[in-house]
Amino acid sequence: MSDALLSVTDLKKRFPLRSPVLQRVVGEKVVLDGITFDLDRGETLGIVGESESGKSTLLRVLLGVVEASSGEMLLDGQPLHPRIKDRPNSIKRRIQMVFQDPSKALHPRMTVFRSLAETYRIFGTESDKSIDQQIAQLLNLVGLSSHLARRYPHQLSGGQRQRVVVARALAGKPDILLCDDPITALDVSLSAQVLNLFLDLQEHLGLTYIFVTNDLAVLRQLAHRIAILRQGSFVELSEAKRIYSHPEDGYTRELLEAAPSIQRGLQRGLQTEGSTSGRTETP
Amino acid sequence: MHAPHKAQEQRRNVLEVEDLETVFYTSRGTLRAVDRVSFSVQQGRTLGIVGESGSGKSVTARSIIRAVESPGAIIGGKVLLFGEDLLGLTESQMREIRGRDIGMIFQDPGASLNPVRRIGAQLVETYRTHHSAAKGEAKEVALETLARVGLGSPSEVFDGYGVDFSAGVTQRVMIAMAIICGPKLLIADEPTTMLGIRTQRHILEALLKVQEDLGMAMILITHDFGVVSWVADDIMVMYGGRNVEYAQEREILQRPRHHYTAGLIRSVPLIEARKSKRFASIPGFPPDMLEMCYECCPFHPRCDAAEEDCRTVRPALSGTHENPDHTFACHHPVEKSVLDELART
Repeated sequence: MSDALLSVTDLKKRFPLRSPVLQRVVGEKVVLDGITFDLDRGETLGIVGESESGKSTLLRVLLGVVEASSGEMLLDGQPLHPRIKDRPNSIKRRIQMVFQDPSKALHPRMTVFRSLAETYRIFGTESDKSIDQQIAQLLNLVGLSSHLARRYPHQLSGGQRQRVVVARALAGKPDILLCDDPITALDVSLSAQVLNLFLDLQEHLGLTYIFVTNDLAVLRQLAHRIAILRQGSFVELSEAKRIYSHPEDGYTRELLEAAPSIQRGLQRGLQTEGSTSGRTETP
Repeated sequence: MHAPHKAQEQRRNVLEVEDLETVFYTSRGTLRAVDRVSFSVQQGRTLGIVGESGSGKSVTARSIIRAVESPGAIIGGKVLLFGEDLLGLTESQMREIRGRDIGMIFQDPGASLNPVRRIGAQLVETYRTHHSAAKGEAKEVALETLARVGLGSPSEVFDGYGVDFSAGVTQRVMIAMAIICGPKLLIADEPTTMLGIRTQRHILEALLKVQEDLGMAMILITHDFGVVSWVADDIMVMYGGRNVEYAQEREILQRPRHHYTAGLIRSVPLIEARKSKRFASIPGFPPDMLEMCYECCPFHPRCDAAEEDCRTVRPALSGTHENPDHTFACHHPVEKSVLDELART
């Protein structure tokens, strides 16, 4: 009997393939091919998947905006409706998503204030503080100054927009944040700040994350467990440490080997440091 | 396993950029996108230009091939290709140079591919624009080039359309388009950012092989220090439109002198790092180029070593006695080795 926060069993998703003109169903594409995992409260599960692996679809199925073809999802032991519109508000607010491209996730004609107030309006709030105060607090929580509430998304930098997306996801006080590669669009110095924010929020609010990314190095510091997703199924799922030290699957090993690591550049530096010639050796 | 680095012999300068200045005239003022930048690239060697968004690295690339459009303008400096200043040429002379002598690859694979024409036709046309050749001969060259960039089934790609293939294949096609005329210089602007990690590695390997085969000079523009340290022989770091540090790859990695460079190196998450160690980050935000101070170091608001002169005097790019080839623009450069720091963690 698992008391996992989220429990997913044999999740599958098939999309019909249609002929170009008449839209007749000519076959199907299996995007998720039996995904099973448990997620504990306060944990970060990293999911590594290249394009066409099904990673975005998996998140959307968990969120409920795409309906699974079969399989089961349990939240705190209770069945989770496959469709978000069938879920009550009290459940909806518990699972939120942070998207890859912050410029597409925010309504361009709504100020930051309105975007955040909207979430409070939908999910309600238990606080007796005014909405103004709550939004100011929320912005501070993600490291933004409250005066930015009056701005429109296009008046913010990429890093700031991404923080607003995170703030909006946090407004309903979720338990689980689904993160669809939220830092690819950001420069390295900004992505580090956003990642530290995720670490802080987990520490202070006890958040649970499913973090999808291509970046194995980021997950090294962020994730407790890592799943490698390939063509709709997990080829490996284990403790982060193990994935890096003892990858079992050939595909995992390929991914690790491919990650251009500055460490390798430094290692090379260490090997030939002390050599007086300008020439570099190839080992 | 890493890219073999080339020995530094006396090699010919393919490209020499001197004091390049490119600006954009906007309603809020003049934006100095490239602010007196100088560098050179030799035959067979790769220069990596590293910088984040807004640093000026892409505008630098576009300035080299004179593809800067209004409200932008190149207002100063020289861009010497084998000694000839490209800035003095006419547009029709530049059209010959682009493609034939300088090839360029962009970030978005397929952005330069016409979706309604077969790939083969586009390659053939590119070749025949710069060489008088019969279609048959051009097709041979096209197939050869597709094989050269590592495509296993060149005829299949030749007969196909851009949309038929994955991003990895499309990016290789873009490389093929860029090199089919055998250019002396290849400029790759973030060629792997949009690709999956294994594909990134394959594309970088394809670029290195192509460079070796053709003896080309290459400029690789990226924000990713991991990628650039793997591929580049020399690295130039850009910030706020300026060249803030320039040295051989190994030298910069071991002893970055500019605080921004050190910060960038530290910010790269390491696969060997431990869980929950906080991510090293550079505090603050990249500068608003229109509000940036001019007579100062543009990095000073984010630098923990900043002093009064950093706010009031523009640091000049200079090297040291021991190492005149490692130049940096910093009044109070980093003294300790980042390598030591990282080794200790």
